[in-house]
Amino acid sequence: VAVVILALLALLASDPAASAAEELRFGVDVARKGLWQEARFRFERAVVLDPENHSALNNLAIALEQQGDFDKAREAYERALKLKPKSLYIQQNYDLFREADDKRNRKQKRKP
Amino acid sequence: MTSAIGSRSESRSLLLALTAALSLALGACASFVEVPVETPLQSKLDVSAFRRVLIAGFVSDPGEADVDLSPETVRLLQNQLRSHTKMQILEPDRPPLQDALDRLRTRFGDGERLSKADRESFRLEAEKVLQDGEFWRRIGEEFQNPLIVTGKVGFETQNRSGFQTEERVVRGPDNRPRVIRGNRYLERKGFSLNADFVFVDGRTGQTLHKEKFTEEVLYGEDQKVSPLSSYFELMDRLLPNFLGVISPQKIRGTRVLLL
Repeated sequence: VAVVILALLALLASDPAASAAEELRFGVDVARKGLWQEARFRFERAVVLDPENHSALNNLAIALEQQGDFDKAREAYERALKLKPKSLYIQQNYDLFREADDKRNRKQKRKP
Repeated sequence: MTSAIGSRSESRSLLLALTAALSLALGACASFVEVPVETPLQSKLDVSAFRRVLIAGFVSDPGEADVDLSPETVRLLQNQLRSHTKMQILEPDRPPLQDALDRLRTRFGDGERLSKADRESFRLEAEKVLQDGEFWRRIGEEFQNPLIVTGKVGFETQNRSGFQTEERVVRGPDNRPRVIRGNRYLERKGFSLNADFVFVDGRTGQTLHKEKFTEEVLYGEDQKVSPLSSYFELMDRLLPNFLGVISPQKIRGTRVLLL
């Protein structure tokens, strides 16, 4: 049994998609607790492990937005939408991000 | 007959199994978490060079007696800044602009009976004081080079009473509902607040930034609201934007994390 478990763990470790899902889950857990720095780190790792993972990109975009890294957040949202164009959740997040970004830009433009 | 019942029961079981499977599948698909986010918004002005802030007082039209605008605004902004900025809030016994405005009031008079021309002259002279760089540099020197906040505040009562079209549903003899339109006289009162905030560099006397706000509120005939509480209601609306000039703000919202 131990051999089987070890083999499964080894398989999991060697499977980037599974590892990315693990990072994603942990990232969501810490994000819910407001630990956005750690969440960002986890989502970044998930994206490195599985660059086609639209959920990881969406979550990374949120973490970047929360930390004020707006250019990178936009890039991550756009990549996530490219991978999953019909995702209502990603689209909604992106729309809300753009709305907030417009507000910020309006304020920046009015700066003396 | 028995076979028909058996077949119906089998179909129901199948339907239940399908529903359960579908629910599970949907549950698995709907793996998302809504989280609150607070995205930072930089202040409009970089005030890192200032250690102190002085609310120097505000120009208001002579004769406006409903609310003592300048002292109320000074006190409100001091309180707000105390909890939203790290700068020291200077609290002189008399706001420095007050003396200059008092001199103008002595010259032109004050109160309801002031002529339109005198009122206009007062406004022009007060505007000159607000733009007088040398005046603000001297004030800045006296208070050890703070960021100075000043400007103009206006608060007016607005009578919005009048006839308003109303629709009522009545039932005729045949018990059918009919919409009847009519006019009703409504007594409504409103207040408007205009605030022009000016941010001055106390080291040089130069204006750093100007911000204009207008807010309005209308009350129904059954609402008895005093001018002072209406003033605070309107100030409360514009305060986030005022604070956004000198302190970083946050835009609150929600986003959906995916699993």
